[in-house]
Amino acid sequence: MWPFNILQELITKNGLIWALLVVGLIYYVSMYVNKYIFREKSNTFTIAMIIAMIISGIAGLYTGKAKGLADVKIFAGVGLLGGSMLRDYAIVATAYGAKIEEIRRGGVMAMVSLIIGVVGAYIIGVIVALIFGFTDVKDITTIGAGACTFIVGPVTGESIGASSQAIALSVAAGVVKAVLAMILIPLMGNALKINNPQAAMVMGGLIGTTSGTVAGLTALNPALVPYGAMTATFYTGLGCLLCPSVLFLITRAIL
Amino acid sequence: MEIYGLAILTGVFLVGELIGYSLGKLLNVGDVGGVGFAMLFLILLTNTKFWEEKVAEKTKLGIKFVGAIYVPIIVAMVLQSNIIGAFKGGLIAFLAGGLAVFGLLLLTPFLAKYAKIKNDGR
Repeated sequence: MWPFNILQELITKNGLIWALLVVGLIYYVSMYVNKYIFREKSNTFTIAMIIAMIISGIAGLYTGKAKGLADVKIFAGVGLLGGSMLRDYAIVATAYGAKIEEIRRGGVMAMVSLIIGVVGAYIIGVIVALIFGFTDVKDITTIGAGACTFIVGPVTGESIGASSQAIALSVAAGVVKAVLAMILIPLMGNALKINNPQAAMVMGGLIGTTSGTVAGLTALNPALVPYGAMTATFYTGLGCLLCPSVLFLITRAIL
Repeated sequence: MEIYGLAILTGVFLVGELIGYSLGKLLNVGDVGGVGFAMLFLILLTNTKFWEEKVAEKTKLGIKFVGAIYVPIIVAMVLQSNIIGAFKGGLIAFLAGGLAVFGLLLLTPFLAKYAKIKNDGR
């Protein structure tokens, strides 16, 4: 029916720029929600993120698939705008203006925090798996890896041959981690004194999940994003390296 | 021209990713910090005297533009996050992922403090 048939065609054809309008509208609404409902106690980005989570959840329920709003046909362009290509390109650009001196000062502790972050998340995941009665060491390792990020989990599970149930759980654990990082970092950031580049670098190494760290830091303080993101981007690689090898062998030896 | 800024950004991005993926190949995993290396190169490049004095303002504007639209990109990223998947994993996934964030976030101030002590002593 005119004009919707033509509009639908246009929107599908111009997905990426249509997504700019969608995000722009969400942002605009968020600004007013922050101003009149929260009386500027929150910030526009945080509200926009919460609205985006709700929309994504509703879309996920509706489609039954994993990519939120991007799985709804007329919003497929959102998948392009928020996909890894533009996201990573833009994250690199945030480094513009970051100070070498700050990175040098935080460098060593950032590396230490990366190792503590991977091993710590792994141990927590393993303990949870043990509490819930998992007995196969491959499954336990995979769930531990899932507590690192939603990429480390399935990569580890597939390389050591874990059950599909454990792999699915590891993905879910990683997703929970990313979503909770988005929420907890802005909530706890001030109390934990994440207010300087070194603290942001350390936190990026400890938490690791890039999407969660970046979104959380943006809500907390956009100036800290490059420092946190820089360490966080090493985390998944390190996790994929350590979990199926050293950590798996150690876990097998202990259990 | 602004396009030079965008082009330079793609340049550092690809060099960083090349290193990240090469390291990954070497270690038999995916990507080891490609974006991190790219960020490091961008910082090194833009902190040089040459960049300060010789590069045109419009070129810099290209990079600043991308840095500015990263916020809506992150909103679009959240729009396609798997919220339902997070709930479907049930209590195990919630505890494993949730405690990993919460517990390690609590460690941040201690490690950050150590970073400070170490630097002041130097």
